[in-house]
Amino acid sequence: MEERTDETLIDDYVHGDREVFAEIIGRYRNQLLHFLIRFLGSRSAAEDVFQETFVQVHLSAETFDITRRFKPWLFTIAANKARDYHRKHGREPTVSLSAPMNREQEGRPYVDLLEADLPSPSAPILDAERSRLVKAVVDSMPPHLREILLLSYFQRLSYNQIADALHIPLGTVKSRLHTAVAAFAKAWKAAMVREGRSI
Amino acid sequence: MTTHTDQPGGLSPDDQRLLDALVEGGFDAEALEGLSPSDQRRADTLTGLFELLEDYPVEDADDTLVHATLARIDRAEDDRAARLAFENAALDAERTGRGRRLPDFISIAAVILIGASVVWPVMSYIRQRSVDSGCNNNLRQMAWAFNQYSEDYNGAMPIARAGLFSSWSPTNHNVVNLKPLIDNGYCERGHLTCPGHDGLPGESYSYQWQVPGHLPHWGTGRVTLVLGDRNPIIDAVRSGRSIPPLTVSINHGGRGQWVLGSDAQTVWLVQPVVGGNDNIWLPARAPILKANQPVDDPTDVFLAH
Repeated sequence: MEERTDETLIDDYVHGDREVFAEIIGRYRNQLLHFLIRFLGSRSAAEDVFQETFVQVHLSAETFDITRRFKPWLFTIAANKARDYHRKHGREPTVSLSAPMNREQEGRPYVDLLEADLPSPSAPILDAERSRLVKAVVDSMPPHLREILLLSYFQRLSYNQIADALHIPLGTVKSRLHTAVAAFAKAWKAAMVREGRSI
Repeated sequence: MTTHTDQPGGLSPDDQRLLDALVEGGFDAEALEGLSPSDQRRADTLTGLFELLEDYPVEDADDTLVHATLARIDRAEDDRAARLAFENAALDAERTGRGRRLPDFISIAAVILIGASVVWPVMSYIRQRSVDSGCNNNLRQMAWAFNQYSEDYNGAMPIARAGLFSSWSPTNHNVVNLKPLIDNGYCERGHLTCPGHDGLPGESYSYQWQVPGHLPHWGTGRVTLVLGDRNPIIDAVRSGRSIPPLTVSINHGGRGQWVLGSDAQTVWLVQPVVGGNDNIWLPARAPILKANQPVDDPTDVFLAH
């Protein structure tokens, strides 16, 4: 039997099939929780927002347009809830996030990744240590940059879908992602330098 | 004064082009056809950077979380049903005239009054704390933005040009100089307004970077104040009111205000006059001061528009 699409499940739910909601949660439980942990930096916060997200899906299911895709809608709700959480809990970004890419880079108005001499992702480093550093770097980024980085990569949302999700113009989405990638690259390099890793 | 207002920050144009292609192609680098060797290396570098994100430590959701979520939905549904029932009962009572007796109204009013007298000061205190914290967070966020911007522009800061009673409208005051930071993703527009802002037009913060004889550079040299609530005198006079020249921002109930220095530190000031190093100031001979009583040191009146 062919598996029902997400959109069909929501439609069935709205029309009284209450059992399907567990299946909807099941389909996205890991994907959504991972997104929220990376965005919020804490599992307990992520679990709280996870629940709030699905409560909102339940409350708003009747307004969902089933001709559109469910996944971007779900992550739009999740991102909004996560931003509310940030606001409510006054999370503060770290000010000193990065260092100049290198001496040659100074004075240039942008980061050029080919000239940036970034540490190779396959540089010899223990998995646990790499995880710790990635978490430290991502957690230190401002929420709006972290958010767009995660939505674009893990959810594979297009620029238009991100613009819809975040309610910002397409041009802002692009420039914000460009800034986020540059900030991440600089912060990753700075973290590796701080750790005394060869580049 | 160094002026960098609208050059793109972030990635180089070539990196931007490759990143755009990767995003629109679902991060399938192999699907990008006809890449030159250098573009191929850029795409590989970008992909490698994004793949680092997969090393962020995460754990899978367990069944408990799913059950807890379903239980929370049940509770939300129960709450909604109870609310609807209550509203329907109230409507019925109103239609039939039943349940509306004077003693009931008096009891309800008394409970509301007692509750309000207890809750109001607490809520007021919580709101003040929330506004103070939110304002400080905004300025810290802007410190991060200035930090990134100055790194991308060799230590320079956005231009800071302001003129009292210039052709700018009240909604277009000097913080408009920070628009390039918004456009290029360094910050969001909301970061430029104190959460306690009273709803007057425009963002609440004032940005200035005017140190005579010094090139503006972030994080080095003389510490100077760069961002904070704008002077309430300007808005007051524009709306035909007169207030004492030393009035602090009203966004924090007149208790003081947060300001951001060029050393990326935020400071809470309880009065608008600071030492000789501030550079967000109302010019000494501005007509606005002549219209009001004199201040101790006119060159130190803090936070021009």
